[in-house]
Amino acid sequence: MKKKSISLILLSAFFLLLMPLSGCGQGSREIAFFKYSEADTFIAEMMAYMTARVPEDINFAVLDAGNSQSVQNQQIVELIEAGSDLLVINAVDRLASSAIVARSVADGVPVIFFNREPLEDALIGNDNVFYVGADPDSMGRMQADMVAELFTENFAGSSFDRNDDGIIQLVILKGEQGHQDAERRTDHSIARLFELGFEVEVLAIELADWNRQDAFEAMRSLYERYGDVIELVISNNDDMALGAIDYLLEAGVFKEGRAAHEQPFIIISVDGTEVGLEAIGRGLLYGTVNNDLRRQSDAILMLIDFILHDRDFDSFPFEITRDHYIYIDGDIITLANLADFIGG
Amino acid sequence: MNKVSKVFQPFSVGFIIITACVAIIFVLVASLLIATFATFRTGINDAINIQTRELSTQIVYNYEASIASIIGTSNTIQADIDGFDSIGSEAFSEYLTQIVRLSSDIIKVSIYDYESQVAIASSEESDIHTSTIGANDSWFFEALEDPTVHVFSTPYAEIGSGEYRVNVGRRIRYQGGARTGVLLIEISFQSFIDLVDKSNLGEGGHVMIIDSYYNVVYTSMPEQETVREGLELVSEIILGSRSAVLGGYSMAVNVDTLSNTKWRICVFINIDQLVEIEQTFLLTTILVSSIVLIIGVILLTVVARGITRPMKQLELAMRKVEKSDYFRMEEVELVASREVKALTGRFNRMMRKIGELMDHVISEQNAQRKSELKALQNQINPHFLYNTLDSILWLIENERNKDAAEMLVALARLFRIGISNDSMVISVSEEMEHVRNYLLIQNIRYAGSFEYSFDIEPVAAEIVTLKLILQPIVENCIYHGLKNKIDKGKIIIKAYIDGDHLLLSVSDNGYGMRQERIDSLYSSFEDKVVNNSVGLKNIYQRVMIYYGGNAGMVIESVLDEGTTITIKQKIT
Repeated sequence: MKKKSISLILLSAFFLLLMPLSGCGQGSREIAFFKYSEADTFIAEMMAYMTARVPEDINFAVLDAGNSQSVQNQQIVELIEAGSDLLVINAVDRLASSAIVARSVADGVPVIFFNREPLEDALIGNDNVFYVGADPDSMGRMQADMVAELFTENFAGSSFDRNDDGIIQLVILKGEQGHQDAERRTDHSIARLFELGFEVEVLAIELADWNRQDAFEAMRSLYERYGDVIELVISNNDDMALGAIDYLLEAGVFKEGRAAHEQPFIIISVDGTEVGLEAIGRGLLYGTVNNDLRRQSDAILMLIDFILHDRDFDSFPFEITRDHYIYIDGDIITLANLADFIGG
Repeated sequence: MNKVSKVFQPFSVGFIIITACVAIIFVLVASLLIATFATFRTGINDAINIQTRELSTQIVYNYEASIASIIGTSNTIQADIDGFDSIGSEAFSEYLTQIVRLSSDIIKVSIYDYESQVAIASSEESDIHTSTIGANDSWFFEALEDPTVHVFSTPYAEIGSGEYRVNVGRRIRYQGGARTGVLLIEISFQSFIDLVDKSNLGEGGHVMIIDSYYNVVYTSMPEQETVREGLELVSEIILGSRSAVLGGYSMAVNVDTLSNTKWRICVFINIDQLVEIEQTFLLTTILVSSIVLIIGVILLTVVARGITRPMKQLELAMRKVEKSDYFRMEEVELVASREVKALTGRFNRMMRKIGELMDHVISEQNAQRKSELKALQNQINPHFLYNTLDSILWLIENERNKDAAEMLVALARLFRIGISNDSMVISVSEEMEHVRNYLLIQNIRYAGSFEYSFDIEPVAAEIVTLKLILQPIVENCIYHGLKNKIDKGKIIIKAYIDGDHLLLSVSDNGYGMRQERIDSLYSSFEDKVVNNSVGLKNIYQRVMIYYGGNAGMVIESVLDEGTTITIKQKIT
């Protein structure tokens, strides 16, 4: 009889012990990653890099918005309400960020935006709200610098000046209208080309929504219109450059086995994805500006660590601009230094 | 287990069964109710969420599609702009006019130069070089500030038509990217308003568009109170959805962003119906549960009664047995469940066995008592015999031969009744005769110091009573009640019938007794040890042995007035 009551007490004590464990224990923290689209290779690679390095005591979820801000809003609200400790957001529409910040600040959940820069007024004045990304201005300029290295001062009459007019005829594959990176990369690469003393003629700006398939179609129409005069293709990212290359290979304009500068015209891009680097190795893509996803990811991971453990930001290893922005500079990658970026 | 049964000790089996089962049913029904309701509630909440989200998502998508088409137009213009020699050309104006014609939403498209702030191209020719940017045209400055966004102005009423319009501004580069300006697309806000099929949102349902500072850009329900309440709620929600009461209606409110704008769209959907369903469900479940509970309690009470009633009857039967001084067996017959029937069967069998044993014991005891009785009857005080004989001797020596003879005769008669018959009973008249002889002897011995008289009902005289029960009482009277008394003592012996009882009483006019003495006498009667004392206790015990519960002895006494001792026996 006594044994029975003792075992009963033990049983109930056991369940009582279990209860706090099943709830939101203090041991593990919950964070969530939000990406705007599954289709973006750069984001996918960055996500893979980050999630592989999230400390073990942190539980994380990865949510895909399927390119709908409305869906992402729901996901964000759901995770805030589920008690997430931190949100890492790659917004679909950067204009939505002020509403997202307002909601998470109201619930006391820190937010780190990446890849799509929120409007400044969304971040300013709010604690524990950050943006990590490449500096699009500097990337655009680096794209121009990369071309300057190749074309040199003697562009006029060189093999690259196909119509021998001394002016660079170029087309732009733009990621997305309104994306700050797309706009600013484009703006700054053109501005930098002018600055470096080149004469530039923008034949067309085609939107290809950051993806390979749209770029394939965009390149088709561009090539049909300007096939003979295109001397340079500036792509806002590797995926779109690869889409263009896909078409050019199919159309027989570009050929395997040549060096990139031996192709009819030059294609440059931004990102430095694995597939992008591979295309450089194959002589199809001349070069790319490394959108250093590793360093960006490292900065995000460091932010996660600093925010969750309430560390002193004086010792934060990355430079923080205007209290909220962490810009990571890129590198020019061409065949010459490709080996430094492959693997590891 | 001991502890448990201790807890239940004070309660009846029926109570325990009912309580336990009611508790179980209650817990069961309650948890079922809670679980069902929780599931239903979640279900209905999910349904509300899905429905409202679906609806509001649809609205948001409609708006976004509309906005996207405008942005698409602006992108097309940006893409096409360098295809024209000059944007001041007629061809470009024609191009812009074409764009306006193709889109029902777009009213006007113009391009303003960054530096001169003058329209350099427009779908409306009259505007070219005449329309300029004013200080209120914030879209122009904002568009220049951030080249990456389209700036949407708040809707305004067009002076001429009164139609609501929105200006969409966007920085544009032209002349091969060499020059900067702002593209202005004026759109009709009416088409935005028409996008919402308000009937879908239910009564009181509406759509509100706000900017990031919670200024209302547009609302389909412009009543001041609704707007105020709505804004208050939206500023709490910020982003996401919630159910709330608004303007007396249950509303699901969903706040979402509108892509490519800094606006937020708030959709209010009437969910009164769903809330009502939830309440009805709750009420129904509670009602059904209560009915189940009540039926359960009734059923249980019946069952428990069925179990406990026979047990109670059994208990009653047992109590009856226990109460009767004299063991009397009564068979218990019950209509009950098998177990209780078996129990009563066993009980009856046990009782029968006990009865048999009792009979055995009683007959044995009777035999024993008979012999005891005999012994008691036969106790003739040797002192009495000696004293009497001594008295006779004394009478003879004083030559009072007549008295001596009388006394001797009385003694002889006394003895004849006392010894002769084997029977333990005699008629009252014979018993009286015995007492009379005794009194005769004693009266002579004590030289007539007391008087005595008999009062015997003729009917009573014939009744049979126990032998030699009056003489010890009379003896008691003489020795304790009258001896040493100054006045002449008086003894009255009565025999009479009262109902179906025979009463034999002996009264004296002696000193009487205090109540304490009477009590102590009574209590000494109850001392079950049969002893050989001669006196009241002896009489009492004999009467009890012989008649059982059908006889008794009563002592009544008043101090200094006398004592009456009555033996009462049932006439058989």
